[in-house]
Amino acid sequence: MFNQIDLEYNGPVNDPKASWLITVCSVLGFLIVLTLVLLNYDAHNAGLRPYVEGSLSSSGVTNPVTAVLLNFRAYDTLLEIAVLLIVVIAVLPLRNAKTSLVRCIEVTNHDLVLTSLQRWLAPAVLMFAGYLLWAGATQPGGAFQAGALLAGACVLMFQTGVYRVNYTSIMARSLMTCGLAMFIAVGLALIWFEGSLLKYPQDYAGVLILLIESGATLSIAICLASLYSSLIDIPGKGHAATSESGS
Amino acid sequence: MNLQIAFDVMLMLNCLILAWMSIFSTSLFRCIVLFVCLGLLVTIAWGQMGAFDVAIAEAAIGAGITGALLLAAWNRIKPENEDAQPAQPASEVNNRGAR
Amino acid sequence: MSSALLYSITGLGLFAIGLLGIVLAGHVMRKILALNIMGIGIFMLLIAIAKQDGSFVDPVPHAMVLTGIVIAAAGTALALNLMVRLHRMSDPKQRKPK
Repeated sequence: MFNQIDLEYNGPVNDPKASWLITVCSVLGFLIVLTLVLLNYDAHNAGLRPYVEGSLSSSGVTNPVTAVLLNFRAYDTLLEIAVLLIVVIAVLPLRNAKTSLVRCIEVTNHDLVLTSLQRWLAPAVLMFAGYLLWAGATQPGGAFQAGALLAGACVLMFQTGVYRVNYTSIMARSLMTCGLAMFIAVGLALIWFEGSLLKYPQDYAGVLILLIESGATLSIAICLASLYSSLIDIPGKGHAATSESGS
Repeated sequence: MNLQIAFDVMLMLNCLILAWMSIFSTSLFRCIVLFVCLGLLVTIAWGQMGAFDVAIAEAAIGAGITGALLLAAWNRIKPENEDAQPAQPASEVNNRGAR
Repeated sequence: MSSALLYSITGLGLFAIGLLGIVLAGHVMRKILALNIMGIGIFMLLIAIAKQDGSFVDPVPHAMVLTGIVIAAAGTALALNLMVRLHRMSDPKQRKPK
């Protein structure tokens, strides 16, 4: 970089070594400045924990993270589920809306380890996801963890290519939107009854939170599973494992 | 208390090293596998910091779903003759044959 | 030096490694991995700031990080879909090596 003089007319625009050096130096400088800021950082107040602790008894659940996610900041969770749905719409493989949700196709190669894993793990994961959903009120758990576990079980079941899910069928669409729909329905009903969006009455707060969480679990599970399917299914060509010669 | 700090320091160093290797490794498959390992290590880090909800979610989503997505995408973009193992250099193959 | 401070510096380090990776890495999938690593760094910083005195855990950053993990996974899925589409539309001779 320092020993060469470049006089070529159509040469490269920038020197790659110089760009690399400048990038590394600037990122290191940024890192050093932020580390110094962090070292001089003093916690000047107690944060939001006293407020959460004070209102936890009237929120309907005992787990503070669930209370924050689904009661105190419920609107953020509503928007998050909406963003997930938007991403799913962006990557949705286009298929026929009239066929059923799941079609079972017989494949010839039965891998013993994989089918045993599916047969043993998927029901256990399903039950554990249901437990996490229920236990989210008092222990670490909740809707997102349960939905992600269910999505993991779906990804496991997709590994052989036996099951092809049609994500544009009526059942799939209703499952994807039921979380957001339930959230909005509860919010609007609470506008009617209580006067403002998602303001739970104290007696029914736990029940409403569980209702919203169930819808959200199903919604998150099938949204994440459809995101995985969009990368293994090519629309119009079928599953990757059975059409390798065609693609 | 000293052991706790030592465990935390080792965990952090491993996270940094894995992050570097996850981006700048030679084979793309290796990058994806190291990223899944990084996800599992930060799950332990969340557990160490007392964030158990985040740890469950990171293990399921960050390491599980994102790892599956990355592997599915890698399967789509790899050249057709490449397998999970990158091709061995020719000199190594010759040495094995000569032995 | 408390462990929370060390974790927040590690979070910054992860963010810096991700930033270097986005600028310097060639292949698009490495950039997506670097973006995810930046996200993990920010989450680590948030949770380390939440854990302030050891026995004192602030639950609001936990909720933010939970939301962030799900959104990061969704964004990664969208980015990977775009990468696969670009790969399908690109000229095979012009694809740069990994």
